[in-house]
Amino acid sequence: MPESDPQFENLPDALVARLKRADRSQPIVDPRTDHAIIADARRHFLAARRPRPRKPVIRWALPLAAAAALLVAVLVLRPFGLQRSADDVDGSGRVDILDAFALARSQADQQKVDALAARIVSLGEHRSDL
Amino acid sequence: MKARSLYIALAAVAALAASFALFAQQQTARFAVVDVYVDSAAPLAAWQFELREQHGEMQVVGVENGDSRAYPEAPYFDRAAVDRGAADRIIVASFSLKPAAELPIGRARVATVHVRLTGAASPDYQLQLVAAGAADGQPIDAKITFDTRTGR
Repeated sequence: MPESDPQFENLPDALVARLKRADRSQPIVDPRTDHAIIADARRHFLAARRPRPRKPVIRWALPLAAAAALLVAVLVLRPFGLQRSADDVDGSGRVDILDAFALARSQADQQKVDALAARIVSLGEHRSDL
Repeated sequence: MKARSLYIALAAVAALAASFALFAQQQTARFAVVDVYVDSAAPLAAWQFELREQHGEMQVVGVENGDSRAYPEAPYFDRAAVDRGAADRIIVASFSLKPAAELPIGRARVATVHVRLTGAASPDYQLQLVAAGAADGQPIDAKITFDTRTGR
């Protein structure tokens, strides 16, 4: 600041002296303050970048989806893998004399009825099991 | 010479023991009759049972039908296995297409099984009702029992 600045001409001397001292002062930045600010900033941005813990729903979503897909596959493929026995006439899930009875009631050929009944009571390898 | 005599004596004893065993088996073999009854509150249109003997000392030699006029024919069973002498158990079944009014209700003898028993122990029969049905083909609750008689 120049000594003969016209702007100081109408100011009190004390004020002018204080303004001149303030103008000469140098800003002092303590290195510790600098490090503290930098460390604080790092902590802040690291915390912001850290992934939040996933919600349980999302964690279980994949296994649940896999289980659902497996169930659907079993239900869809079941008719091809485990076909119902042709001897299960009444659809009860087991083959017994009620199947031969159902066949007889449907006016089926007597030979077919007798053949089914023979398989039902068979003790050997021709046994008619599901 | 002594050793030869000893072998002959041992062979004779073994043959004698085998003969006694065969004789004893023939003596213990006997025939029996098992009358099978089904007890149903509803008219019985179809039935199926399985008969076993716990010790495996039974051989089925014949099956005949029961008392009801609704079942005039002999029941279904594995005749070939019986004829071969290979029926150590038996599955017997039958049905009737008669109207419900003509079907048996209550305790009815549905079949008689003729068996040949071996072994000295008393037979331990295992009888299971596999199926029982009404005239409309629906399964019904029923109870199965048996009586035994000495066969010829």
